[in-house]
Amino acid sequence: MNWISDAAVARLRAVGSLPDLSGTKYRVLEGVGRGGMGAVYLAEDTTLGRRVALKTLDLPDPTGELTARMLREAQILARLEHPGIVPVHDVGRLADGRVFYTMKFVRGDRLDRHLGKMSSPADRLRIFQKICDAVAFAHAHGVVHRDLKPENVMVGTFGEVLVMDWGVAKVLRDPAGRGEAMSDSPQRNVPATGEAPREDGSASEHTVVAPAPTAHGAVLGTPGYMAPEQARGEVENLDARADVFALGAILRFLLTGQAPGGRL
Amino acid sequence: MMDDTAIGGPARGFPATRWSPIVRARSEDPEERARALESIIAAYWKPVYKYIRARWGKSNEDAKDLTQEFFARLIEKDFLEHYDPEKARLRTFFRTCVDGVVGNQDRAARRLKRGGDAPHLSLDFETAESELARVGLPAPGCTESMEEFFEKEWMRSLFSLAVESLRQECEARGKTVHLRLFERYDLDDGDVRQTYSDLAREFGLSTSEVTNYLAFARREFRRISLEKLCEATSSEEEFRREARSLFGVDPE
Repeated sequence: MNWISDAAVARLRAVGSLPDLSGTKYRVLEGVGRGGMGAVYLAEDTTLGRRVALKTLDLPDPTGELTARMLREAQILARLEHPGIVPVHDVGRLADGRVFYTMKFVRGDRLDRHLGKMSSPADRLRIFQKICDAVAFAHAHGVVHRDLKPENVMVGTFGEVLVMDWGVAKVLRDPAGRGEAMSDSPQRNVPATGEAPREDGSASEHTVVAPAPTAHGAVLGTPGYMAPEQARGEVENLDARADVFALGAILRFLLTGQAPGGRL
Repeated sequence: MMDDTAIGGPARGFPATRWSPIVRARSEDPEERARALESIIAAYWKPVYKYIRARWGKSNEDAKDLTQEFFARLIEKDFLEHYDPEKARLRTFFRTCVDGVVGNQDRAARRLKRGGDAPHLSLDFETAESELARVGLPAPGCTESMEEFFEKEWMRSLFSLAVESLRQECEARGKTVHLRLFERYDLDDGDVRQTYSDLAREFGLSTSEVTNYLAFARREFRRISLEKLCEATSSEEEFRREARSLFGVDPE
Protein backbone atom coordinates (compact mmCIF):
# COMPACT_ATOMS: atom_id res chain seq x y z
CA MET A 1 0.00 0.00 0.00
CA ASN A 2 1.57 3.27 -1.10
CA TRP A 3 2.10 6.24 1.13
CA ILE A 4 -0.42 9.06 0.76
CA SER A 5 1.06 12.40 1.75
CA ASP A 6 -0.81 15.25 3.39
CA ALA A 7 -0.83 17.09 0.06
CA ALA A 8 -2.25 14.01 -1.68
CA VAL A 9 -4.93 13.67 1.01
CA ALA A 10 -5.93 17.27 0.31
CA ARG A 11 -6.06 16.59 -3.44
CA LEU A 12 -8.10 13.42 -2.93
CA ARG A 13 -10.59 15.32 -0.79
CA ALA A 14 -10.94 17.81 -3.63
CA VAL A 15 -11.30 14.95 -6.12
CA GLY A 16 -14.04 13.41 -4.00
CA SER A 17 -15.98 16.64 -4.02
CA LEU A 18 -16.08 16.75 -7.81
CA PRO A 19 -19.58 16.20 -9.18
CA ASP A 20 -20.50 13.06 -11.08
CA LEU A 21 -21.12 14.30 -14.62
CA SER A 22 -21.87 10.91 -16.13
CA GLY A 23 -24.86 11.18 -18.44
CA THR A 24 -23.88 14.69 -19.49
CA LYS A 25 -21.60 15.90 -22.21
CA TYR A 26 -19.26 17.42 -19.65
CA ARG A 27 -16.15 16.08 -17.92
CA VAL A 28 -15.11 17.74 -14.73
CA LEU A 29 -11.50 18.84 -14.51
CA GLU A 30 -11.14 20.52 -11.12
CA GLY A 31 -12.84 22.67 -8.57
CA VAL A 32 -12.25 26.39 -8.92
CA GLY A 33 -14.36 28.01 -6.25
CA ARG A 34 -17.09 27.73 -3.70
CA GLY A 35 -19.71 30.30 -2.87
CA GLY A 36 -22.65 30.79 -0.58
CA MET A 37 -24.74 27.95 -1.98
CA GLY A 38 -22.85 26.49 -4.91
CA ALA A 39 -19.52 25.29 -6.14
CA VAL A 40 -17.94 26.09 -9.48
CA TYR A 41 -15.84 23.62 -11.44
CA LEU A 42 -13.73 23.79 -14.52
CA ALA A 43 -15.21 21.29 -16.94
CA GLU A 44 -14.79 20.27 -20.54
CA ASP A 45 -17.65 20.29 -23.00
CA THR A 46 -16.74 17.10 -24.87
CA THR A 47 -18.99 17.89 -27.82
CA LEU A 48 -17.58 21.30 -28.58
CA GLY A 49 -14.15 20.64 -27.11
CA ARG A 50 -14.11 23.77 -25.00
CA ARG A 51 -13.67 24.50 -21.35
CA VAL A 52 -16.59 25.87 -19.39
CA ALA A 53 -17.37 26.81 -15.83
CA LEU A 54 -19.96 24.50 -14.30
CA LYS A 55 -21.87 25.61 -11.25
CA THR A 56 -23.91 23.33 -9.03
CA LEU A 57 -25.37 23.34 -5.55
CA ASP A 58 -23.22 21.97 -2.78
CA LEU A 59 -25.69 22.38 0.05
CA PRO A 60 -28.58 20.13 1.00
CA ASP A 61 -31.74 21.45 -0.57
CA PRO A 62 -34.66 19.49 0.90
CA THR A 63 -37.22 22.13 -0.05
CA GLY A 64 -35.89 22.85 -3.52
CA GLU A 65 -35.53 26.54 -2.76
CA LEU A 66 -31.84 26.71 -3.54
CA THR A 67 -32.38 24.77 -6.74
CA ALA A 68 -35.00 27.32 -7.74
CA ARG A 69 -32.58 30.10 -6.96
CA MET A 70 -29.85 28.54 -9.06
CA LEU A 71 -32.17 28.05 -12.00
CA ARG A 72 -33.37 31.59 -11.71
CA GLU A 73 -29.77 32.75 -11.75
CA ALA A 74 -29.18 30.81 -14.98
CA GLN A 75 -32.33 32.24 -16.51
CA ILE A 76 -31.36 35.77 -15.55
CA LEU A 77 -27.93 35.30 -17.08
CA ALA A 78 -29.50 33.89 -20.23
CA ARG A 79 -31.56 37.03 -20.75
CA LEU A 80 -28.69 39.40 -20.05
CA GLU A 81 -26.55 39.12 -23.15
CA HIS A 82 -23.88 41.74 -22.62
CA PRO A 83 -20.06 41.71 -22.90
CA GLY A 84 -19.85 42.58 -19.21
CA ILE A 85 -22.05 39.73 -18.01
CA VAL A 86 -20.85 36.13 -18.10
CA PRO A 87 -22.85 34.20 -20.70
CA VAL A 88 -24.67 31.02 -19.66
CA HIS A 89 -24.47 28.04 -22.03
CA ASP A 90 -26.57 25.23 -20.67
CA VAL A 91 -28.67 23.92 -17.78
CA GLY A 92 -29.02 20.30 -16.70
CA ARG A 93 -29.11 17.81 -13.87
CA LEU A 94 -26.32 15.68 -12.43
CA ALA A 95 -26.67 11.96 -11.91
CA ASP A 96 -27.48 12.64 -8.25
CA GLY A 97 -30.31 14.98 -9.20
CA ARG A 98 -28.63 18.28 -8.51
CA VAL A 99 -29.17 21.06 -11.01
CA PHE A 100 -26.16 22.59 -12.72
CA TYR A 101 -25.56 25.22 -15.31
CA THR A 102 -22.55 25.95 -17.43
CA MET A 103 -21.18 29.32 -18.42
CA LYS A 104 -18.18 30.85 -20.08
CA PHE A 105 -14.93 30.02 -18.32
CA VAL A 106 -13.23 33.33 -17.65
CA ARG A 107 -9.50 33.33 -17.11
CA GLY A 108 -8.44 36.16 -14.91
CA ASP A 109 -8.60 37.59 -11.42
CA ARG A 110 -11.31 38.66 -9.07
CA LEU A 111 -11.33 42.42 -8.84
CA ASP A 112 -10.34 42.37 -5.17
CA ARG A 113 -7.23 40.38 -6.10
CA HIS A 114 -6.57 42.37 -9.25
CA LEU A 115 -6.33 45.74 -7.52
CA GLY A 116 -2.57 45.58 -7.03
CA LYS A 117 -2.05 45.05 -10.75
CA MET A 118 -3.70 48.33 -11.68
CA SER A 119 -1.18 51.11 -11.38
CA SER A 120 -3.11 54.20 -12.37
CA PRO A 121 -6.42 55.67 -11.21
CA ALA A 122 -7.37 55.88 -14.88
CA ASP A 123 -7.08 52.08 -15.21
CA ARG A 124 -9.23 51.64 -12.16
CA LEU A 125 -11.85 54.05 -13.45
CA ARG A 126 -11.94 52.27 -16.79
CA ILE A 127 -12.78 49.06 -15.00
CA PHE A 128 -15.38 50.81 -12.91
CA GLN A 129 -16.94 52.22 -16.08
CA LYS A 130 -17.26 48.71 -17.49
CA ILE A 131 -18.91 47.45 -14.32
CA CYS A 132 -21.36 50.33 -14.48
CA ASP A 133 -22.13 49.55 -18.14
CA ALA A 134 -22.98 45.93 -17.29
CA VAL A 135 -25.09 46.88 -14.28
CA ALA A 136 -26.89 49.60 -16.28
CA PHE A 137 -27.70 47.00 -18.94
CA ALA A 138 -29.16 44.69 -16.30
CA HIS A 139 -31.20 47.52 -14.82
CA ALA A 140 -32.51 48.38 -18.29
CA HIS A 141 -33.74 44.78 -18.47
CA GLY A 142 -35.41 44.93 -15.09
CA VAL A 143 -32.76 43.00 -13.13
CA VAL A 144 -31.09 44.14 -9.91
CA HIS A 145 -27.93 42.25 -8.92
CA ARG A 146 -28.17 42.88 -5.13
CA ASP A 147 -24.70 41.53 -4.33
CA LEU A 148 -22.25 43.72 -6.18
CA LYS A 149 -18.79 43.70 -4.67
CA PRO A 150 -15.21 43.28 -5.91
CA GLU A 151 -15.32 39.51 -5.29
CA ASN A 152 -18.14 39.27 -7.82
CA VAL A 153 -16.31 41.06 -10.61
CA MET A 154 -13.80 39.27 -12.81
CA VAL A 155 -11.07 40.99 -14.75
CA GLY A 156 -10.05 38.78 -17.64
CA THR A 157 -6.58 38.31 -19.02
CA PHE A 158 -7.49 40.46 -22.03
CA GLY A 159 -8.87 43.28 -19.92
CA GLU A 160 -12.48 42.23 -20.15
CA VAL A 161 -14.59 42.94 -17.08
CA LEU A 162 -17.46 40.63 -16.16
CA VAL A 163 -20.03 40.92 -13.40
CA MET A 164 -20.53 37.47 -11.88
CA ASP A 165 -22.68 35.64 -9.37
CA TRP A 166 -26.25 36.65 -10.00
CA GLY A 167 -27.53 34.14 -7.45
CA VAL A 168 -29.40 36.69 -5.35
CA ALA A 169 -30.49 38.92 -8.24
CA LYS A 170 -34.05 40.19 -8.33
CA VAL A 171 -36.19 40.55 -11.42
CA LEU A 172 -38.18 43.75 -11.04
CA ARG A 173 -40.06 43.21 -14.26
CA ASP A 174 -39.60 41.06 -17.28
CA PRO A 175 -39.72 42.39 -20.83
CA ALA A 176 -43.11 40.77 -21.44
CA GLY A 177 -44.55 42.62 -18.47
CA ARG A 178 -45.08 39.50 -16.36
CA GLY A 179 -43.57 40.97 -13.25
CA GLU A 180 -41.46 38.35 -11.43
CA ALA A 181 -42.83 35.51 -13.50
CA MET A 182 -39.36 33.97 -13.80
CA SER A 183 -39.38 32.96 -10.19
CA ASP A 184 -42.63 30.98 -10.40
CA SER A 185 -41.47 27.55 -11.51
CA PRO A 186 -37.97 27.74 -12.79
CA GLN A 187 -37.43 23.97 -12.63
CA ARG A 188 -40.04 22.93 -15.11
CA ASN A 189 -37.82 22.82 -18.18
CA VAL A 190 -34.72 21.25 -16.71
CA PRO A 191 -33.85 17.94 -18.34
CA ALA A 192 -33.37 14.89 -16.15
CA THR A 193 -29.77 14.86 -17.24
CA GLY A 194 -27.80 17.47 -19.09
CA GLU A 195 -27.91 16.68 -22.85
CA ALA A 196 -25.58 18.09 -23.86
CA PRO A 197 -15.85 28.64 -14.39
CA ARG A 198 -14.54 31.17 -14.43
CA GLU A 199 -10.95 30.70 -13.12
CA ASP A 200 -11.94 31.86 -9.72
CA GLY A 201 -15.42 30.50 -9.39
CA SER A 202 -17.39 33.50 -8.21
CA ALA A 203 -16.88 32.62 -4.60
CA SER A 204 -19.10 34.91 -2.61
CA GLU A 205 -18.13 33.57 0.73
CA HIS A 206 -19.42 36.58 2.64
CA THR A 207 -22.77 36.70 0.94
CA VAL A 208 -25.76 36.23 3.19
CA VAL A 209 -28.24 34.10 1.28
CA ALA A 210 -31.93 33.79 2.04
CA PRO A 211 -34.30 31.20 0.62
CA ALA A 212 -35.90 32.14 -2.67
CA PRO A 213 -38.13 33.89 -3.44
CA THR A 214 -36.93 36.38 -0.92
CA ALA A 215 -39.28 37.14 1.92
CA HIS A 216 -39.66 40.45 3.68
CA GLY A 217 -37.16 40.77 6.52
CA ALA A 218 -34.66 38.43 4.89
CA VAL A 219 -31.24 40.02 4.65
CA LEU A 220 -29.15 39.07 1.68
CA GLY A 221 -26.09 40.72 0.26
CA THR A 222 -22.70 41.51 1.71
CA PRO A 223 -22.14 43.76 4.72
CA GLY A 224 -20.38 46.93 3.66
CA TYR A 225 -21.76 46.79 0.14
CA MET A 226 -25.42 46.60 1.12
CA ALA A 227 -27.63 49.68 0.89
CA PRO A 228 -29.28 50.58 4.21
CA GLU A 229 -32.70 49.38 3.06
CA GLN A 230 -31.14 46.08 2.01
CA ALA A 231 -29.42 45.68 5.38
CA ARG A 232 -32.78 46.27 7.07
CA GLY A 233 -34.29 43.44 5.07
CA GLU A 234 -36.77 45.62 3.19
CA VAL A 235 -36.69 43.27 0.25
CA GLU A 236 -39.79 44.58 -1.49
CA ASN A 237 -38.38 48.10 -1.49
CA LEU A 238 -35.15 47.16 -3.19
CA ASP A 239 -34.56 48.48 -6.65
CA ALA A 240 -31.71 49.66 -8.84
CA ARG A 241 -30.67 52.14 -6.17
CA ALA A 242 -29.36 49.27 -4.02
CA ASP A 243 -26.92 48.41 -6.82
CA VAL A 244 -25.95 52.06 -7.18
CA PHE A 245 -25.06 52.09 -3.48
CA ALA A 246 -22.87 49.01 -3.98
CA LEU A 247 -21.24 50.59 -7.02
CA GLY A 248 -20.29 53.54 -4.84
CA ALA A 249 -18.68 51.16 -2.37
CA ILE A 250 -16.79 49.45 -5.20
CA LEU A 251 -15.58 52.84 -6.46
CA ARG A 252 -14.29 53.62 -2.98
CA PHE A 253 -12.51 50.28 -2.94
CA LEU A 254 -10.97 50.88 -6.35
CA LEU A 255 -9.68 54.33 -5.47
CA THR A 256 -8.55 53.77 -1.90
CA GLY A 257 -7.92 50.04 -1.67
CA GLN A 258 -10.17 50.04 1.37
CA ALA A 259 -13.31 47.99 1.57
CA PRO A 260 -16.28 49.61 3.28
CA GLY A 261 -16.06 49.19 7.01
CA GLY A 262 -12.29 49.13 6.83
CA ARG A 263 -12.03 45.59 5.41
CA LEU A 264 -9.55 45.16 2.66
CA MET B 1 -12.33 7.19 -27.88
CA MET B 2 -13.83 5.36 -24.99
CA ASP B 3 -16.66 7.17 -23.31
CA ASP B 4 -16.14 7.05 -19.58
CA THR B 5 -19.86 7.28 -18.94
CA ALA B 6 -20.22 3.82 -20.38
CA ILE B 7 -17.55 2.21 -18.30
CA GLY B 8 -18.18 3.59 -14.87
CA GLY B 9 -21.16 1.44 -14.07
CA PRO B 10 -24.49 2.86 -13.05
CA ALA B 11 -24.36 6.55 -12.28
CA ARG B 12 -24.66 7.00 -8.56
CA GLY B 13 -23.55 9.77 -6.34
CA PHE B 14 -23.31 7.63 -3.24
CA PRO B 15 -22.98 3.97 -2.46
CA ALA B 16 -25.70 1.45 -1.87
CA THR B 17 -24.97 1.13 1.79
CA ARG B 18 -25.40 -1.47 4.43
CA TRP B 19 -25.98 0.77 7.35
CA SER B 20 -24.28 0.48 10.64
CA PRO B 21 -21.32 -1.86 10.74
CA ILE B 22 -21.70 -1.44 14.48
CA VAL B 23 -24.98 -3.28 14.35
CA ARG B 24 -23.44 -5.95 12.15
CA ALA B 25 -20.46 -6.21 14.49
CA ARG B 26 -22.90 -7.20 17.21
CA SER B 27 -24.53 -9.78 14.97
CA GLU B 28 -25.11 -13.34 16.14
CA ASP B 29 -23.92 -14.51 12.74
CA PRO B 30 -20.16 -15.03 13.21
CA GLU B 31 -19.37 -14.46 9.54
CA GLU B 32 -21.32 -11.23 9.40
CA ARG B 33 -19.73 -10.10 12.62
CA ALA B 34 -16.23 -10.99 11.41
CA ARG B 35 -16.70 -9.06 8.16
CA ALA B 36 -17.94 -5.99 10.01
CA LEU B 37 -15.09 -6.09 12.48
CA GLU B 38 -12.59 -6.56 9.70
CA SER B 39 -13.85 -3.40 8.01
CA ILE B 40 -13.73 -1.43 11.22
CA ILE B 41 -10.25 -2.65 12.11
CA ALA B 42 -8.93 -2.00 8.60
CA ALA B 43 -10.00 1.62 8.77
CA TYR B 44 -8.99 2.32 12.35
CA TRP B 45 -5.94 0.34 13.36
CA LYS B 46 -3.33 2.69 11.91
CA PRO B 47 -4.90 5.84 13.35
CA VAL B 48 -5.17 4.08 16.71
CA TYR B 49 -1.53 2.98 16.67
CA LYS B 50 -0.27 6.40 15.59
CA TYR B 51 -2.50 8.11 18.11
CA ILE B 52 -1.11 6.01 20.96
CA ARG B 53 2.41 6.89 19.84
CA ALA B 54 1.59 10.59 19.56
CA ARG B 55 -0.87 11.21 22.37
CA TRP B 56 0.64 8.94 24.98
CA GLY B 57 4.27 9.06 23.90
CA LYS B 58 4.49 5.27 23.98
CA SER B 59 7.36 3.35 22.42
CA ASN B 60 6.54 1.45 19.27
CA GLU B 61 6.56 -1.85 21.18
CA ASP B 62 4.18 -0.54 23.82
CA ALA B 63 2.01 1.02 21.15
CA LYS B 64 1.81 -2.30 19.32
CA ASP B 65 0.70 -4.05 22.50
CA LEU B 66 -1.84 -1.40 23.28
CA THR B 67 -3.21 -1.43 19.75
CA GLN B 68 -3.60 -5.20 19.93
CA GLU B 69 -5.20 -4.79 23.33
CA PHE B 70 -7.67 -2.25 22.08
CA PHE B 71 -8.83 -4.32 19.13
CA ALA B 72 -8.83 -7.51 21.18
CA ARG B 73 -11.32 -5.84 23.46
CA LEU B 74 -13.30 -4.67 20.49
CA ILE B 75 -13.54 -8.22 19.23
CA GLU B 76 -13.99 -10.05 22.52
CA LYS B 77 -15.88 -7.75 24.79
CA ASP B 78 -19.06 -5.80 24.83
CA PHE B 79 -17.10 -2.71 23.89
CA LEU B 80 -19.52 -1.63 21.24
CA GLU B 81 -22.50 -2.14 23.52
CA HIS B 82 -21.54 1.14 25.18
CA TYR B 83 -21.50 3.09 21.98
CA ASP B 84 -24.36 5.50 21.43
CA PRO B 85 -24.33 7.10 17.96
CA GLU B 86 -26.49 9.89 19.33
CA LYS B 87 -23.70 11.05 21.59
CA ALA B 88 -20.55 10.84 19.50
CA ARG B 89 -19.10 9.87 16.19
CA LEU B 90 -17.61 6.40 16.07
CA ARG B 91 -14.18 7.93 15.56
CA THR B 92 -14.52 10.01 18.72
CA PHE B 93 -15.79 7.01 20.67
CA PHE B 94 -12.83 4.92 19.59
CA ARG B 95 -10.36 7.63 20.52
CA THR B 96 -11.92 7.96 23.96
CA CYS B 97 -11.82 4.19 24.42
CA VAL B 98 -8.17 4.11 23.40
CA ASP B 99 -7.45 6.71 26.06
CA GLY B 100 -9.23 4.49 28.55
CA VAL B 101 -7.28 1.41 27.58
CA VAL B 102 -3.95 3.20 27.75
CA GLY B 103 -4.71 5.15 30.86
CA ASN B 104 -6.14 2.40 33.00
CA GLN B 105 -3.82 -0.51 32.54
CA ASP B 106 -0.16 -0.99 32.98
CA ARG B 107 1.74 -3.12 30.56
CA ALA B 108 2.17 -6.14 32.77
CA ALA B 109 -1.53 -6.29 33.51
CA ARG B 110 -2.28 -6.06 29.83
CA ARG B 111 -0.02 -8.95 28.99
CA LEU B 112 -1.45 -11.00 31.79
CA LYS B 113 -5.00 -10.25 30.77
CA ARG B 114 -4.52 -10.93 27.09
CA GLY B 115 -3.16 -14.36 27.88
CA GLY B 116 -2.95 -17.11 25.34
CA ASP B 117 -6.48 -17.09 23.98
CA ALA B 118 -6.72 -13.40 23.20
CA PRO B 119 -7.04 -12.69 19.48
CA HIS B 120 -3.88 -11.45 17.90
CA LEU B 121 -4.28 -9.41 14.77
CA SER B 122 -1.83 -9.46 11.95
CA LEU B 123 -1.14 -5.76 11.57
CA ASP B 124 1.68 -4.23 9.59
CA PHE B 125 3.14 -2.04 12.34
CA GLU B 126 6.34 -1.56 10.41
CA THR B 127 4.51 0.32 7.69
CA ALA B 128 2.57 2.34 10.25
CA GLU B 129 5.84 3.27 11.94
CA SER B 130 7.46 4.33 8.67
CA GLU B 131 4.42 6.46 7.88
CA LEU B 132 4.68 8.03 11.28
CA ALA B 133 8.31 8.84 10.59
CA ARG B 134 7.24 10.70 7.46
CA VAL B 135 4.66 12.90 9.15
CA GLY B 136 6.45 13.08 12.47
CA LEU B 137 4.85 13.13 15.88
CA PRO B 138 3.19 16.42 16.78
CA ALA B 139 5.68 18.53 18.71
CA PRO B 140 4.85 19.51 22.27
CA GLY B 141 2.85 22.72 22.17
CA CYS B 142 1.89 22.06 18.55
CA THR B 143 -1.35 23.80 17.66
CA GLU B 144 -2.66 20.64 16.04
CA SER B 145 -4.81 18.94 18.62
CA MET B 146 -4.71 15.20 19.14
CA GLU B 147 -8.24 15.05 17.86
CA GLU B 148 -7.11 16.67 14.61
CA PHE B 149 -4.12 14.35 14.43
CA PHE B 150 -6.35 11.31 14.86
CA GLU B 151 -8.80 12.60 12.26
CA LYS B 152 -6.03 13.28 9.76
CA GLU B 153 -4.58 9.80 10.19
CA TRP B 154 -8.03 8.26 9.95
CA MET B 155 -8.56 10.08 6.67
CA ARG B 156 -5.19 8.90 5.37
CA SER B 157 -6.09 5.35 6.36
CA LEU B 158 -9.46 5.54 4.64
CA PHE B 159 -7.97 6.93 1.43
CA SER B 160 -5.18 4.34 1.47
CA LEU B 161 -7.77 1.58 1.60
CA ALA B 162 -9.76 3.21 -1.17
CA VAL B 163 -6.73 3.65 -3.41
CA GLU B 164 -5.74 0.03 -2.85
CA SER B 165 -9.23 -1.13 -3.81
CA LEU B 166 -9.18 1.13 -6.84
CA ARG B 167 -5.83 -0.35 -7.84
CA GLN B 168 -7.18 -3.89 -7.59
CA GLU B 169 -10.33 -2.98 -9.49
CA CYS B 170 -8.48 -1.22 -12.30
CA GLU B 171 -6.03 -4.06 -12.69
CA ALA B 172 -8.82 -6.62 -12.74
CA ARG B 173 -10.68 -4.64 -15.39
CA GLY B 174 -7.65 -3.89 -17.53
CA LYS B 175 -7.74 -0.18 -16.79
CA THR B 176 -4.17 0.27 -15.72
CA VAL B 177 -3.74 3.45 -17.78
CA HIS B 178 -6.67 5.00 -15.93
CA LEU B 179 -5.01 4.08 -12.65
CA ARG B 180 -1.58 5.35 -13.66
CA LEU B 181 -3.03 8.68 -14.71
CA PHE B 182 -4.82 8.95 -11.40
CA GLU B 183 -1.63 8.12 -9.53
CA ARG B 184 0.40 10.63 -11.49
CA TYR B 185 -2.08 13.48 -11.33
CA ASP B 186 -3.74 13.05 -7.96
CA LEU B 187 -1.34 11.05 -5.81
CA ASP B 188 2.19 11.95 -6.81
CA ASP B 189 3.92 14.80 -5.04
CA GLY B 190 6.13 16.27 -7.72
CA ASP B 191 7.71 19.68 -7.46
CA VAL B 192 5.93 20.77 -10.62
CA ARG B 193 2.24 20.06 -11.08
CA GLN B 194 1.68 18.28 -14.37
CA THR B 195 -0.98 19.43 -16.77
CA TYR B 196 -3.38 17.24 -18.75
CA SER B 197 -1.33 18.08 -21.83
CA ASP B 198 1.86 16.88 -20.14
CA LEU B 199 0.18 13.60 -19.27
CA ALA B 200 -1.25 13.24 -22.76
CA ARG B 201 2.25 13.52 -24.23
CA GLU B 202 3.73 11.16 -21.67
CA PHE B 203 1.09 8.47 -22.14
CA GLY B 204 0.61 8.92 -25.89
CA LEU B 205 -3.03 9.92 -25.48
CA SER B 206 -5.14 12.86 -26.53
CA THR B 207 -5.99 15.43 -23.87
CA SER B 208 -9.63 14.37 -24.11
CA GLU B 209 -8.67 10.79 -23.40
CA VAL B 210 -6.70 11.91 -20.36
CA THR B 211 -9.77 13.83 -19.22
CA ASN B 212 -12.02 10.82 -19.69
CA TYR B 213 -9.70 8.27 -18.12
CA LEU B 214 -9.04 10.49 -15.15
CA ALA B 215 -12.75 11.16 -14.75
CA PHE B 216 -13.37 7.42 -14.57
CA ALA B 217 -10.65 6.78 -12.00
CA ARG B 218 -11.74 9.72 -9.88
CA ARG B 219 -15.38 8.67 -9.94
CA GLU B 220 -14.46 5.15 -8.92
CA PHE B 221 -12.19 6.48 -6.19
CA ARG B 222 -15.02 8.57 -4.81
CA ARG B 223 -17.45 5.65 -4.94
CA ILE B 224 -15.02 3.33 -3.19
CA SER B 225 -14.11 5.96 -0.60
CA LEU B 226 -17.76 6.44 0.27
CA GLU B 227 -18.20 2.69 0.60
CA LYS B 228 -15.21 2.54 2.94
CA LEU B 229 -16.58 5.50 4.84
CA CYS B 230 -19.90 3.74 5.20
CA GLU B 231 -18.07 0.78 6.69
CA ALA B 232 -16.30 3.05 9.16
CA THR B 233 -19.35 4.91 10.44
CA SER B 234 -22.18 3.84 12.65
CA SER B 235 -25.32 5.27 11.09
CA GLU B 236 -26.64 6.91 7.97
CA GLU B 237 -26.64 10.25 9.72
CA GLU B 238 -23.00 9.89 10.75
CA PHE B 239 -22.09 8.71 7.28
CA ARG B 240 -23.67 11.78 5.73
CA ARG B 241 -22.01 14.08 8.21
CA GLU B 242 -18.62 12.51 7.62
CA ALA B 243 -19.09 12.51 3.85
CA ARG B 244 -19.83 16.19 3.99
CA SER B 245 -16.81 16.80 6.17
CA LEU B 246 -14.59 14.68 3.94
CA PHE B 247 -15.71 15.80 0.50
CA GLY B 248 -17.72 18.92 1.19
CA VAL B 249 -20.83 17.49 -0.41
CA ASP B 250 -24.00 16.07 1.01
CA PRO B 251 -24.87 12.52 -0.06
CA GLU B 252 -28.16 12.35 -1.92
